Amino acid sequence: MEDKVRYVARLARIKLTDGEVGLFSRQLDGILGYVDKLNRKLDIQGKAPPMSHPHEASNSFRADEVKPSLPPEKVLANAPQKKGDFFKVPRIIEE
Amino acid sequence: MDNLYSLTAGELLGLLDKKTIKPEEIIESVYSRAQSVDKKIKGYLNLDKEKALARAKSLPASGRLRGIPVAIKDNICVEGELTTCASKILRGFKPPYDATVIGKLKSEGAIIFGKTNMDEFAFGSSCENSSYFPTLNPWDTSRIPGGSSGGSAAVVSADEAVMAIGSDTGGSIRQPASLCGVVGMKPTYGRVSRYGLIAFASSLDQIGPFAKDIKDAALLLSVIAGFDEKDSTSVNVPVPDYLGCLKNDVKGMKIGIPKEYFVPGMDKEVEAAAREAIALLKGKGAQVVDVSLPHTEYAVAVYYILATAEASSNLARFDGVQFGYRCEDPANLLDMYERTRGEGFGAEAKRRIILGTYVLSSGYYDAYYLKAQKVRMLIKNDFEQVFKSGCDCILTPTSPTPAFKVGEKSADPLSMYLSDIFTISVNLAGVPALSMPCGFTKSGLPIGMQLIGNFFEEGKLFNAAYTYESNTDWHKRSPEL
Repeated sequence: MEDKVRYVARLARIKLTDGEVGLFSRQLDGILGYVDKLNRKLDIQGKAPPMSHPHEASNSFRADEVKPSLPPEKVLANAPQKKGDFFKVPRIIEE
Repeated sequence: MDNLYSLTAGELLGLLDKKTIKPEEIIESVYSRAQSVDKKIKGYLNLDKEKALARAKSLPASGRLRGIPVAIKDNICVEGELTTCASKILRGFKPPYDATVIGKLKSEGAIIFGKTNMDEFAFGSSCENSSYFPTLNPWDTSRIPGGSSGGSAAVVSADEAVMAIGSDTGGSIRQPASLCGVVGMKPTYGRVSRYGLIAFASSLDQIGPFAKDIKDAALLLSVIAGFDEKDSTSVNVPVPDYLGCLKNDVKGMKIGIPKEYFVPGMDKEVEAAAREAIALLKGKGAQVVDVSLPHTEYAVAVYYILATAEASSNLARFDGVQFGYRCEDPANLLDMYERTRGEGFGAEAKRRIILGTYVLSSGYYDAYYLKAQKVRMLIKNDFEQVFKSGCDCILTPTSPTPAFKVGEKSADPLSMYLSDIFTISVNLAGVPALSMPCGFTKSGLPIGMQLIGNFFEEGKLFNAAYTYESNTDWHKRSPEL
């Protein structure tokens, strides 16, 4: 389980401490054991289609009109780091 | 006038109408109440009297909530006001826009009054997962107020707010309402716009009201409900006159009692209170029938797969780029993502993101995520069968136990998840439900009952709830603080 937790944490882009890996591994074992009742106890071959949403899903369109958007200074006001009208992040392409 | 803070919105609006009082007096009264009791309860993350008073000076000429202070859960965006989801990763975040519900409240003259504490990102049933501090139950401060909207429930219960707004993904309005002895409703999925609600699980989340009585809850829902083109999942169905549904009459109403919600080993006092409520409604002319929701036992498993899967995707946006927390001196982009999220999220948020990522990952998707989506359909079908058989509503306890002790379940996530067994199915199906006080334990803790309705039939719930409330006085009790 610990390997799985490390692998999934990497997918989710979360750095975990070794202590967290151990704790989450034990807890996820318990939770997965519980939710596995869906596979152990319930045979639903063909009985139900998957449901992703409470209402019949359909695309929701609106008219394609130009409307005012937020000014850059308001959008950037919460940025941890900015430069001019941009969000500043560490170098993305390694030299 | 003394003790304005203890009145309902309905009562205050009456006094405002007669010009007996001014909005500023309400703010002063509720604020000084909060000053004196919130040290014990800790329901508010932020409360600014001057801002509230400034709002009272620029109210619209008329409005259904004109002059009424409404507290807001901290996962709902209020322009220019700290909105953090009680998470370190959103520390300092001030939204550049209002959520749709906030816009509606403001245009009806409500005074946005403080942001309330919650489990981080609404992950929890006790308010202990707030990264700032836990909120405590006004009826017994050694106990939790429920969650995740524990702050909103507690401040209404303690008369530190006249009304409040919360969000409910698996019971996060109804369970704390039950544990704090107030009214709380999760409307039909799509009834209230989610625009500006920081998403947890988008197919389950719904914003709803907390209030001191049914009339206030109906009033608050009428203000916030309605189609919104900014939320493609909001549904374009006219909003009925909920206040017109408040009839003290349930003659001919058919109420279903699901056997799966009354099981051996459940808390005796909770069961007794729910059964007495059923008897009362029967005595008032309701027809009570036994019904079955056969897939109830799978609801918690389905929920913790689907809700965490959706959360793992929704919380990807917290990456240290555009807002909130960013780790110190990242070596590169990946390091920035991983450390920002590792340091910024609390334990339960990390646990849920890991679980949600796992059930969506290659090799496990079919066994967990797809299977859960199929069982979700069976759970929805259960409710549709009951309503097709002619039931107007379903009555159950809201929570299997009264408020538990601080720390009692915090070390064991699974036992915490199981405290939501009576509320989760409703979100999976998408139907509306409310919780209201229906008694007290011998030790003085509130007990709540849940009324569940068919899609967009909140009005019937208000009708049954109003009848019950008109014939009981549980809602008039207040905690001693």
